Amino acid sequence: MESLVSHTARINDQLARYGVKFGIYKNGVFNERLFPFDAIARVISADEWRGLERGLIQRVDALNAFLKDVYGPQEIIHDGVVPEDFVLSSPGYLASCIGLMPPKGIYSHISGIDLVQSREGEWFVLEDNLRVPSGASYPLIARALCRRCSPDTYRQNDIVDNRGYGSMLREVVDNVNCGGINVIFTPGRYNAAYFEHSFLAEQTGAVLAEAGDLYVENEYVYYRGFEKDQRVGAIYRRISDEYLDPTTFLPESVIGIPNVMSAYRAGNVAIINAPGNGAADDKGIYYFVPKMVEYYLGEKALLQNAPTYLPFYPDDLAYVMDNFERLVIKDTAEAGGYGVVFASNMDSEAREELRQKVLTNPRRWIAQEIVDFTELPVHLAEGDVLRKADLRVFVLTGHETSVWPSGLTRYSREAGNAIVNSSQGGGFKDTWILSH
Amino acid sequence: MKLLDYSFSTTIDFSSPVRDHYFVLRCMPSPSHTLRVLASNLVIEPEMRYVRQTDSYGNLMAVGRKAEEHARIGYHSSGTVRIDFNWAQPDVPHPIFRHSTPLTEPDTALFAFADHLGTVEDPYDVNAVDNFCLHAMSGVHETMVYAPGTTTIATTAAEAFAAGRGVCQDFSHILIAALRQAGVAARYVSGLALGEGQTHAWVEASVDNFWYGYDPTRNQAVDETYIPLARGRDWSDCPVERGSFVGLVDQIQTVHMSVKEHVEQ
Repeated sequence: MESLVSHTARINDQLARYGVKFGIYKNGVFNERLFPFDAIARVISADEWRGLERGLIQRVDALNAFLKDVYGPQEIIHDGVVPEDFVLSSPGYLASCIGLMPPKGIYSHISGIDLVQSREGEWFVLEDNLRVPSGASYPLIARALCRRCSPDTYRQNDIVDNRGYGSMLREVVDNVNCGGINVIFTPGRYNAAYFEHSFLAEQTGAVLAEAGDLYVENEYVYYRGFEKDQRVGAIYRRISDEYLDPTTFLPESVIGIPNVMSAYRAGNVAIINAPGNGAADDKGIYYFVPKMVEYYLGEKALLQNAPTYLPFYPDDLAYVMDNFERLVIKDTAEAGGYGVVFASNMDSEAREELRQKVLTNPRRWIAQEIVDFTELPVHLAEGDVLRKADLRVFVLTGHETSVWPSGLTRYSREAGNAIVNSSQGGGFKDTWILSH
Repeated sequence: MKLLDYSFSTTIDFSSPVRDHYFVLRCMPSPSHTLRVLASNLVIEPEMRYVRQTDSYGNLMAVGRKAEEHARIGYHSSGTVRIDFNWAQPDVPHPIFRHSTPLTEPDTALFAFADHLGTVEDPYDVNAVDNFCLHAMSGVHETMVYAPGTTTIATTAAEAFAAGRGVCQDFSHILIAALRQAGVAARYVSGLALGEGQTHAWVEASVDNFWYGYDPTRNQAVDETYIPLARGRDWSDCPVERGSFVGLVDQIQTVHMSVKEHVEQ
């Protein structure tokens, strides 16, 4: 790994040249920022990975079953496992999707599951991302550059090849294609993950399309080609549900595909991931995922959640009020590292204010014990330092569910900070899965 | 049983031509247990291709597109329906009709109003639930002043209630908020009614798993002279027209409608 680490600066230069950036909106101004890469990879042993893999497949299969259920018969509600309120008052639960079955019944084709490892080595799921999880392209391209800089590193270590992501993704999209070409639909170059959209189009052989490139007529979606228009059978869309179709969702959206929901409703196009998935990756629903595994699969959940309390339940509310200053409080209405606060870091006035908010609207909040998660070495010119890091693993559901043997390890910018989201200014690492 | 002829047209004039116009119309009666469509005709001008689809609430939609430039669009929906409450069948309400939406979310004042209406004595007793709904309907009717032009499609139940005035949409949102507060599943209905010169809105509540209609604007139980066009959680699920087009324009909308008792020729 030393030879590889010595190339850190060159690899970062290459990443910048390739345009590996992410964009961020701050105070209404769009800035593109480089996503710093640290060459010291996170290493996961074969045994450990096998355990994670089984747990992740189980979790995603249960989440898919849950989505099919809540937009259909709602048995999990009738059986009292998940309270009706948590499903139906979730902003991600879309009434327009009730009774609509996506092609082959798959809702979450690409799931980004965020994990952390405690200092004792135990893994915990922090978050499920079932809407438009991004990030797979970063370790993919970083690995390719690293291999070029230091090919020996990959000959001497038994690292599972991660170059199959494009073909895995393609299989997932082809599996639900309803006839026609595959497109990756991007909101355009001012999106945080635009680099990734174009990279994935290249990797999967799909057409990269923006608003205006697609139109809907008589329940079919078409791509405006140079010579003739082509029917579209699957759309891997990289925009959120609200902006997807202005005649169904937000009317002011100019980055969507008007009437695309009519083609979807008619079963003529697959939308990846399915609209309405926000009902299952709500911060409040997270609490129930291990229960879903038991309910739908009849198995004990192999992966555990971080210890979580729902103030919605009176017992949990009492606990949260008694232990407020040592918990992480999360706003279920916010995403991406926003609305996450460590009560211990607040001044007493702000903390009291938040406590009142939780008391008046308990349904909106969850509280978690702080998982003291591992720090990984990060290489700096002045020497290696330790930073908290998480791991986003990509779980793909096609004919069956499988886990991409790689992942995006994100580390925080400052020492001690436990918020690693790229939108909060951290960097990333490659994740090596060892083959034995 | 009633046989009703309906005719409903909307014309939108644009101040300059628009293109790539996509639309979703909910302007045709949707068949249900109590409503049978005997004749239904939809004419769109200029001529456009469209398909008929049904949304998650069972509402009939016309979904289409006009790519070429046009400065006016007109929808004319007409036909004959047969409405007979004797055909009513039980229908377990989707739980979504028990939850508030941004347009029907009560504020403190509306909570207090709903509280003041009391509670349903026995949720399994048809008469008790129906009486409560009638009582709530009259409560809304008596509290609110009918005042066209004082509210918009974006006005929430809480805002209209605070102002004390509004139109059928506002009356219905307030009644929905009050009923859901009392644990009664309630839904918004947009439609046509005998004797109304405009599209109308009212409320349906689930009474022992049968949908009963209540019209808080006219303060009467819905009878067989009402033709539902669309149902949903609130107005935003039931607009007669939703469109998306390219063009920066002003729009003028003209609506004509009539409902008459059908006369055999």
